[in-house]
Amino acid sequence: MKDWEDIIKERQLSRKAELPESDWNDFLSRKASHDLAVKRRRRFITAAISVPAAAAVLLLLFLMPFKSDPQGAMDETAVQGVVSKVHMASDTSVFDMEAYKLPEGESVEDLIRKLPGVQIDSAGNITVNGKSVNRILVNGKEFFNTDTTKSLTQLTAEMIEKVKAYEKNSDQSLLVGIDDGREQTVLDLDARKVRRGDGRIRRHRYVDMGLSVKWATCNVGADKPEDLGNYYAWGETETKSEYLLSNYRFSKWFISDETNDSTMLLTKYCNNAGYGYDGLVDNKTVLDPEDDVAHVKWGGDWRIPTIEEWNELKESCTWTWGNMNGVYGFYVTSNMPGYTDHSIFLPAAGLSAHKVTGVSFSIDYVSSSLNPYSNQFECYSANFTKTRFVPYGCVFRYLGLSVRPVCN
Amino acid sequence: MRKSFLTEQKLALGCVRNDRDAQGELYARYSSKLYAICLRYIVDREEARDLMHDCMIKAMDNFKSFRYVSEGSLYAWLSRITVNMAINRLKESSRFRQIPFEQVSGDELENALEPDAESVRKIPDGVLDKLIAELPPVRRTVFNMYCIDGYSHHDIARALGITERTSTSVLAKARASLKKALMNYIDKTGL
Repeated sequence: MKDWEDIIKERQLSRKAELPESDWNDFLSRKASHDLAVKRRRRFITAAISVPAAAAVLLLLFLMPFKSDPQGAMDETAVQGVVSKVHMASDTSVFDMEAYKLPEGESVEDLIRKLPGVQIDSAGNITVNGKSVNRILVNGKEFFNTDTTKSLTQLTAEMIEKVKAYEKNSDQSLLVGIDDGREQTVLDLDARKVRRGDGRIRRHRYVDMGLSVKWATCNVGADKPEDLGNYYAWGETETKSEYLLSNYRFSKWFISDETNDSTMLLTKYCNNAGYGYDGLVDNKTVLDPEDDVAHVKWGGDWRIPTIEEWNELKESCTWTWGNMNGVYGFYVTSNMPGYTDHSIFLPAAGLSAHKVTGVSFSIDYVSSSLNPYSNQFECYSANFTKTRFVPYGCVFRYLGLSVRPVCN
Repeated sequence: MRKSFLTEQKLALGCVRNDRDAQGELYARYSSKLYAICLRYIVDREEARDLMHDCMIKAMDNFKSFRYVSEGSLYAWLSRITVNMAINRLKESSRFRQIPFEQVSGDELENALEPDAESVRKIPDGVLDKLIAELPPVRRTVFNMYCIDGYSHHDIARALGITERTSTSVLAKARASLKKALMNYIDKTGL
């Protein structure tokens, strides 16, 4: 039997409310004044920005050499080289191992000896800038028990990506919440997360998950796996401030002589004469390399995955919703035998347009395939929300999408 | 001649292209439904109509973010925009802000009999609307969001800037007062 609430819900949802007859005209006049206001605002903003912006740039250029900010300079100071051997991030000294040339098979102890300002005495006690190190952590967690020196010789240096030295409150003060002044100097080793089959092409990391292609760890335009990166319309290789049909690379206004109607038509990747400019039909359904933003931006073998590859990722992997450094998204872990510890993180990157309006919470990644069945304005995308995944999702191709490249 | 927009997909594409005929069709199909939603949240008829107009304008401006999944997704999208905008409008109004989110006292929840479903079905539209409209604004909003538009307590809490627990207790109150009002009406008219 139905509950009284269900009855109310049913009745309320099917309701239509009577509108006065003049309503459409009222609406039109309201919309007209709105459109006018938007147009005016745009014109005002461009005018408002361009004049002061030019003045500000000139002023900045003039002031630059005299600008000094000792406070800010203390926070983040880089010392020497392209990849600096050591830099300060607030109160932590970070030693980046990429700056050290290490022979193979070197132990962590040998590595630590090479760090500037770090010393190990004959008894195996480590000091950083004169302060003795009480604890050694790996990835921020207690890893070594009591005999730190012995363990250090057993770890190899290749496993370490970064070494951080900082002061940490004692366990007791962390527990009680009162700073008892007894700070400990801590050496924190960031272990590198590179396993069999993983590597880099042109500086960009990939993960081998035992699938037909290797997946990149970051989006195009991102430095870290959790960064959303840039948005690109399908077939475009540059970002834009607005993703509209009217500024899409492959669209053109067509004005009919007979009816004087104007419509947007496509100049490339079109399979239906009704939508092609000048009746264009090129029967292309997959992006050419020169229109593939992953290939253009990253070079090498990098490219945008096809929709079949997205589907393979969906079928052969376990998708777990989680968060990485505060960014929500999916951890995609391989189910292929021998690769079950290999995973990538896909941050919840929305459509550029969705981000603006906030109406939808779905997540989209671009594929290189056009949807041949619908009208020609759509490409396939990997579309997922927290609870479902639609590998054959469709999205208008002029919208900005996140790009996660693959390579063979 | 008016162009035809037979399927939702065609209609959506027309709206994306800023086609005035498509916008007219969109308005003809959905305005009265959206107006009904607005009326549920904002009782005043003129205010509700203004809001509906604003929602339509917003939808037309942001049509590029509409995603077609299946028949019906256009209405789902429009109603989502409408509910969101209605809530924002409510939050702006001073009356809404002044209502304190007090705790539920035990006796308010007691002795409300469950109204009979069949009797509820017989209550005329106008009366049902009036009974819901007479709920205090916060209760009415939470009741509308949870029971009719199917929002979760989590979403309600985020939209209204309250805690989930408050949302639950406000809903309990809303249900109790609505039950009471329904029973009163049913008793009085002998439905």
